[in-house]
Amino acid sequence: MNTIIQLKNVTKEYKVVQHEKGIVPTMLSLFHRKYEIKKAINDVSFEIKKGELVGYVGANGAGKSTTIKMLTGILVPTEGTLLVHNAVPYKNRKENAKKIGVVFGQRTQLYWNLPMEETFDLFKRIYKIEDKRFKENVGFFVELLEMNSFLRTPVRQLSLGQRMRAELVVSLLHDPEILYLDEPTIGLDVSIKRKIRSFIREINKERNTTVILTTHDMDDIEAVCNRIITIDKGALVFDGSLDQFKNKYSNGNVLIIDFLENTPKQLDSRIRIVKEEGTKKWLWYDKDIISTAEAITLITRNHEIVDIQVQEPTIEAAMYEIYKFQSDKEKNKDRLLV
Amino acid sequence: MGYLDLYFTFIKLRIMGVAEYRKSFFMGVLAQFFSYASEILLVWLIMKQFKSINGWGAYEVTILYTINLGSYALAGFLFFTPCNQISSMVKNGSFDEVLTKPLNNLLYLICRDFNTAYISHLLLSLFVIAYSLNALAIPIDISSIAYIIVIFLSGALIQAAGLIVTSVPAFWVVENSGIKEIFFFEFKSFVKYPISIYHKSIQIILTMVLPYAFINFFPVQVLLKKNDYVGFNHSLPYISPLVGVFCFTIAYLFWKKGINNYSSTGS
Repeated sequence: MNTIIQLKNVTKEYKVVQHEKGIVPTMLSLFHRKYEIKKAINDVSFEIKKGELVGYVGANGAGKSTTIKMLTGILVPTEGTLLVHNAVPYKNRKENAKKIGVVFGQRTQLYWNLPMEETFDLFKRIYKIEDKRFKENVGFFVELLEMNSFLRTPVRQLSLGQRMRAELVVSLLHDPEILYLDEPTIGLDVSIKRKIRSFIREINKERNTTVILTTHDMDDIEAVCNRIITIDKGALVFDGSLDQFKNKYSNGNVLIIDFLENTPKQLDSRIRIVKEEGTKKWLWYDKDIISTAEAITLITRNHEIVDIQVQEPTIEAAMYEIYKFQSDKEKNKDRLLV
Repeated sequence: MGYLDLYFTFIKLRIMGVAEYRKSFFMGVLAQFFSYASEILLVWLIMKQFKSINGWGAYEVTILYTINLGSYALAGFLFFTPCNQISSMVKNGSFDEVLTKPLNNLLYLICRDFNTAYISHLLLSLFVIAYSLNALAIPIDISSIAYIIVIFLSGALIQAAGLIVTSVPAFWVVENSGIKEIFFFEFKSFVKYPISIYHKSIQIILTMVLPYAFINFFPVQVLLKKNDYVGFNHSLPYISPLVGVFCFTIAYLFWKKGINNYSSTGS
């Protein structure tokens, strides 16, 4: 597989005007402004190969959108090398744009008061898509995303879920090699989210499209991606597979057990009770120290139980771990229970 | 021609969408028409009272005025909305979309956002020019029509350059309306009248710094067989097209520089 995206020590700085409080400092700032250099992206390096499904995650303001905007050629990096298809995106905007599809979840590319088909037609012309390919693509996407019923409805009358599906189609009509999705599932209901997730996977499978997805919904990542890149305050924190990610940041599993009667406070030195609700208890254990099977055997041997549930580490919990870790660096095992 | 095809597609979309705001479209065109028509009438009435200023008669001044207006209409039809909305596009980050299209970004904006209201300016100025030429007994033949077309095009290039140059600062300072108001609209209003009535310093600025005098004052000299060059070389009317191309090139380079300074917004 060949490398399609390459970042080497990329930094992006913004000049931010410092606003002071009060009328006098504000008046003075008309003549003399204080600037602060803010690093939105700080020395980030990674490579992405053709056909990968990459989840790009981080808290609000971590620098996700800035990275996507540099990759799409919108922003100019302050330092470092950033190559897409072996070219610098902002210097080759037109060439770069032909090979990428972009969806910004908070923006629209559709013509507001016309049916989406008109926008499709416009994109056909903008990207100079051949007739045959255009028809095939529209047919395929519309079928896959179940959009037939609202093709002729003016875009402003569509629901968010319907509109977002149209945005996806528009970004894929010209068979881009890379698809950038910046929060495509924001504000959507579960069934639409599922449709969109399976659609992304399908496109990746059928056409080997490289997908870079930013989202705050960890279920998106779990359902779509096979690699996860995490940034925090502009710096790369993690880059690897989903399983590696979960193991690294949340090495604990949790058993939720409903006991028949109240149990003693201490079960075993390797298992800790982290939460209680009457006879229902949340038990935390480290998989490296005691296996799930062993933990269950140990408990059922000494106590009668009504119900048992095993909670695997989720990405959600792992993400939370990162955010927490970054903010208070103090380790505290209890926070695993979210 | 890919852009021409795209341009017609956008016109089609505009017509399809225009049903939504047909009334506002016609109201806009009418309002523009009457506001400029009354201004031209005012100029003409004042000139009628004075008979002439610095040797320029009423109809000569209306020609000056409408060549400025007509070439502005041509420039505005294509460039006004793209330039005018840069500030808001920078504010709300919608310029992102422009930069992710496989097209020249300025041409894309021109195709997408042409401003139909300028049709009224153009028709009005063509009508007034024809009427004034007739009143001055200047024949409207192939050579004078060709000359007016050239003046219009070079004037439009200068005005388009003015619109672009005063809009690009929005990429740095976000709010550029003051810059545009002073350096485009206010300064350009000097050339509504023959620049020979102003102080020498203003004449020099309008020729060498903000070359708005090349829109109408210099080229009109040949059309009206005037000899009012305020001390400048008599070949200046003929370099108007060059001035236009030069200004537009500078403006375009400045535009490209501005774009790389675009900083988008968080989302």
